[in-house]
Amino acid sequence: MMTKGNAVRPSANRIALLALLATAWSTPAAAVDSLDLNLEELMSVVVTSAAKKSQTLADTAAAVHVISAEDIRRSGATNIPEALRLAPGVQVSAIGNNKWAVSIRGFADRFANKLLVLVDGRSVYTPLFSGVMWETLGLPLENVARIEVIRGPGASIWGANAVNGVINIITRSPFDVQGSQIAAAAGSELKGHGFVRHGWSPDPDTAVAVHAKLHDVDASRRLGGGAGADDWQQFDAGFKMERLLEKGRLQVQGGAARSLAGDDVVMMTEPPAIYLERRTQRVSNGHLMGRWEGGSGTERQDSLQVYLESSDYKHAILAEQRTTADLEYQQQVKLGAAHDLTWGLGYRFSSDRIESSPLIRVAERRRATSLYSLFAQDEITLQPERWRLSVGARLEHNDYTGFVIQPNLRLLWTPSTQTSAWASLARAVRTPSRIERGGAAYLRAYPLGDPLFIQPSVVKLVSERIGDEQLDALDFGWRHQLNRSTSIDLVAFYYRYDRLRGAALTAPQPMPTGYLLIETLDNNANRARQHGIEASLDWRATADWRLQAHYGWLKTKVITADLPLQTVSDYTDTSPVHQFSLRSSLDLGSSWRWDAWLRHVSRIDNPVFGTIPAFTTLDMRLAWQARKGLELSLVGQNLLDRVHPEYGSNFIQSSPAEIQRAVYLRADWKY
Amino acid sequence: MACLIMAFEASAADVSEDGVKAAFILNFTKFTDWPANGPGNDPLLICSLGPRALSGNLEALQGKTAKGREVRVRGATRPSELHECQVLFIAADEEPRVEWVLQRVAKLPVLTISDVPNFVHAGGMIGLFQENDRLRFDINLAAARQSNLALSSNLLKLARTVKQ
Repeated sequence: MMTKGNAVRPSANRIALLALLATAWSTPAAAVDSLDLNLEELMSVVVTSAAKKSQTLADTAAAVHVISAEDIRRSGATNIPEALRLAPGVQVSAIGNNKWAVSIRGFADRFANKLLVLVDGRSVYTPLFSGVMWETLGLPLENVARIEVIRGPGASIWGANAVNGVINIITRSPFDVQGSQIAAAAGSELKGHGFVRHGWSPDPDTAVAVHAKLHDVDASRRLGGGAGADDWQQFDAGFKMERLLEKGRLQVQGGAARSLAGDDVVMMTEPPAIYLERRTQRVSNGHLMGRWEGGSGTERQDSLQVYLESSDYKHAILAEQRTTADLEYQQQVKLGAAHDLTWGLGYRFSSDRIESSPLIRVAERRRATSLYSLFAQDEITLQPERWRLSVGARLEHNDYTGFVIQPNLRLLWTPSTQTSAWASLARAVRTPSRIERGGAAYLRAYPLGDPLFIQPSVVKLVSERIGDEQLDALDFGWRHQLNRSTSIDLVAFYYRYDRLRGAALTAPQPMPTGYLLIETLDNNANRARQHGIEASLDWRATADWRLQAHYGWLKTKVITADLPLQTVSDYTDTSPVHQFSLRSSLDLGSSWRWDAWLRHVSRIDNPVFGTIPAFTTLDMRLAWQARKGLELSLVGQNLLDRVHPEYGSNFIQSSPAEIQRAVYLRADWKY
Repeated sequence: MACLIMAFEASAADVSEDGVKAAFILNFTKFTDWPANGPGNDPLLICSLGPRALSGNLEALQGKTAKGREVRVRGATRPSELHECQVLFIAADEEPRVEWVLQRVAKLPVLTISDVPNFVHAGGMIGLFQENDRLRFDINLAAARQSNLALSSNLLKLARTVKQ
C-alpha cells in the first residue's frame, strides 16, 4: 500500500508517530529453531509474516498516511501546504498565494486551531492565535524526508491541540544527503526558487549538511479583477548534524528564516472606521535543537530533546516577539512479551511581548506561560499477530485551564496478513490561545450606521475567559491488500465536540462621541456533531504506472447555543462536503516521468465570506533525467481554468484572492 | 485466561521472516572464506547497521559457532568500527545510506548482506529478497573477490543470480 521500506518504517532517530502508534512485532523465540536449519532447508521455509516490517502502516490503529519525498517531488508541489494535498482527508484551501486554510476534518481557517504541526518533533503551532502560519515555515521541501499525516485525535501522545489531526514533517538525515545539490525553478506564479545544500562527513560517525533557500512568489488575482497584494518572499538557511554514538545517536540542528508576505487587511477601529491597509507581514524566526537517543537493541530506547526558538512577527494587525524553550524526555521499554510501554515527560516555557494595533488589542503586553506534561501508552499484545490493544493518556497542566487529561483506547485486529481493522476511542482538548485570554478585536464597523441602529456602531469581540474545547472521537478503520499491486484503506468516524468557543452580543452602549459600542461576552456554549468517511485506493497497475485515488466525505453540524444574542459560531460551514483526488505517476522509459493530478473540491457556503463554488483542478509534471544527477522538469498547476477562488478569510479579513493557472520550469542537479 | 492465550501463542509460533533472515546470515558465514592473514580463531563478528536490525533476531546468533569460530553480534555499528567486522548486515531502514556504507567497506574483507532492494547492483555481496513466500538471494561475486573473500561454489549454486 505504501512504498516499501524506509518510507513507512518507524525510524528510531526521530519522534516518528508511527514508532509510537505501531511497534513491530518481533518473535526472536521462533528464530532459534530456524537457526539450526541448513541453507537448502531455509530456502523452503514459507515465511508467514510476510513483509511484516514494511507493513508497519497496516499494523497501525489510526488513520495514517505517509507522504514520501518521492511523492512530493513528482507532485510538482512548491510549498508545504500544496504537498499536504497528497494525503487523504486533508483540506488545503489557498486564501491567496501566501495564505492557506489547512485542516483535517473540518474547522478550517487560516488559523485552524485543531491541528498540531511538528517539524522533527518541534511544534510550529503558534500559541498566539492557535494555528500554524504556513507562510512563515522556511523549511525547504528538498529537505523533507517524509510527512506523516494522522487524521483524528493524537492528543494522548502529542498533547493538547492535536484534536483533529497531527502533521509531522521529518527532515532528511545528513547521512542521506552527502554531496552537493542545487535546484532552481522559475515560472509564472513561482517567480524564482533557488536551493543549495552540501553534505559531508568530517569523520565516519558524523555527517553534517547545510542548506540555503530563496523563494519568490508573485501576487495572485484579486476577486473581481486586478492584481492581489499577496506576493511572498522566503529566505531560509540551516544545518543538521548527526553523530552515531556507541549506543544511540546525537542530532543537532538549527536554522533561521525570514518571510515577507504581502497583505491587504481590512482594518476596523473604534470610533467606527473601516479601511484597507496594504502592508507586508514580516516574520523572522530562528531555532536550535538538540536530540539524543540511547539504548540499543529492542528492549529499551531513551530520547531526550531540547529546543530553543525565537520569533519576531510584525504586521498591521499585531506585532509579537516570542521566545520558547522546550524539553522532552521519552522512554520506550518492553515489559515481558506482551507489553510495550512508551512514556514521557515534557516542559515548555514561552514568553512574549505583544504590541496592539487599532484592530487587535491585548490586555497584557508581556506574558510568560509554562506547560507541563506527562504521558504513557501501553501496547498490549492480546494474541500475537491477531489482537492488539493500546491504552494511553496524557496529563497536562497549562496556565489558563489547569489540568487536562486526554485518554485514548485503540484496538487492532489483523485476521490475516492482508487485512487489518481497527477502532479508536479518544478524548482531545484544545486549550485557549494567548489572544483568547485577554484579547479584543473589532469584528464589524459601521461608520455610517447599521440599518439596525440609526447611529454609527462598532462590534468588539472581547475574549477573556474562553475555556477548553473538547472532542470525544470514535474512529473505525479497515485496510485490505487485495493483491500485490492494490490496496484499499477505509476510515469512518463520528465526533462529538462540546464546549466550543462562542460569543453573545451585549446591549449596545452609547458612547459620548455619538456611536454605539456592542461588545461580546465570550462563552464555551456551542457544540458540534460530525461524521465522515475517507477512502483511499492505491493501484500499481504496472511496474511503471501507479494510480492513487482519495475520496473524503465530511458532514459537520455546528450547533450555535440557543442563548440570547449568541452570534453564529465562526466554525460554521468551513469545509467542503466532498473532496476527491486522483493521481497518476507514469515512468516512460528510464529517463522520462509523467505525472498528472486531478482534484475536485465541492462548494463551501460560509456565513462570513460567502460561497466558494465547487472547482476541479489539474496539475501535471513532465520530468526528464538529462543525465546522471541532472533532472529537468516542467510543471503546470491549476490547468483547467484561468483563475478560481478556493477560500475566504474569516477572522482577520484580507481582500479575497483567486488562484491562477501557473507554469514553472525546474532543474535539479546533484554532484 | 492467561494460560489460554499462552497456549495459543505456542501453536501460532510461525517462523518470522526476520528469524529466517538471521538464519540465512549464519549460513552464509559457513560458505565464506576470509583472507588467511585476517584474524583466525578470534570470534566471528557480525555487525548490523540500523538500530533494530531484523527486529532483534540477529542477536539470537550470539554464541553460535560458524567455521569453528564463536559468533559475536554487534548491533547499531558505527562506520568507524566497520573494519572490525567480518560480516555486515545493512537493515532495510538504512537504504538511503547503502552506497555510502559500501564505499567505506569496499576494500575491507567484510561480507556485506542486506535485504535492501537491488543491493547487489549497488555493489553489495549478498542480497536477500522474497519470492513466492520464500527467501532467495543474489550474489555479486565480483564485489566479494575485490574484498578478497572466497565464496563456496555450493553457495553460488543456490543463488538466483550470480553477478560476475
